[in-house]
Amino acid sequence: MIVDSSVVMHWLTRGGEFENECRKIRESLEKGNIIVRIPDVVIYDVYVRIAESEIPTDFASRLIHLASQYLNFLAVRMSGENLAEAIRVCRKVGVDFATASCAVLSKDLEDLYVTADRRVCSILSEHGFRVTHVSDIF
Amino acid sequence: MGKEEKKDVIISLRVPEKLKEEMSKVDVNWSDYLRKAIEDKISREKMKRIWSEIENIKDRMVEGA
Repeated sequence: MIVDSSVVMHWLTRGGEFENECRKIRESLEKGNIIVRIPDVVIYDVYVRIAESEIPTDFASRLIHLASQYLNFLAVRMSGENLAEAIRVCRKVGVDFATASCAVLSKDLEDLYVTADRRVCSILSEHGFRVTHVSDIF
Repeated sequence: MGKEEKKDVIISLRVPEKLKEEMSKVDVNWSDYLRKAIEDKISREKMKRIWSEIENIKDRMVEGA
């Protein structure tokens, strides 16, 4: 399973619409029931989201430090070929680069891409990518 | 700077005799299999430990809100 920053941000913050569904993914991962992978560029996207959030600086600073340790266990380094393809996808489909990276990695690894963003799910599905909304699996 | 020395050590595992017989009937490199399983387990345990710290931060954020 490939997850994007919309899922990871639900892990890291409270009160999100799909908090429970996203938590179930993380718990399954920690039990060893599923394998979760995240493109390295998505991890950077998570850092940016934390930095741009309204989380108080002291908490944001500590959270980003811990998130980096946690997410490094799941990180997949994107190959040059996959990064090149991600550029094509993000421009053609109209999603951001991190999202396009998830779509490309999902295709390359023949693994399911799971997002908590309905718009992303809808757009990428229309373009033939194997993407599912988190609410559809739990 | 010197090269990092990677030294393997031998560990023993006690299993029922019947299981040992079954293990020998299948074509699996048990050493590789167990090494990978141990690495995965260690990663998951480390992740759980980090996650408990993240939960702690989340609790404190809610309390401070």
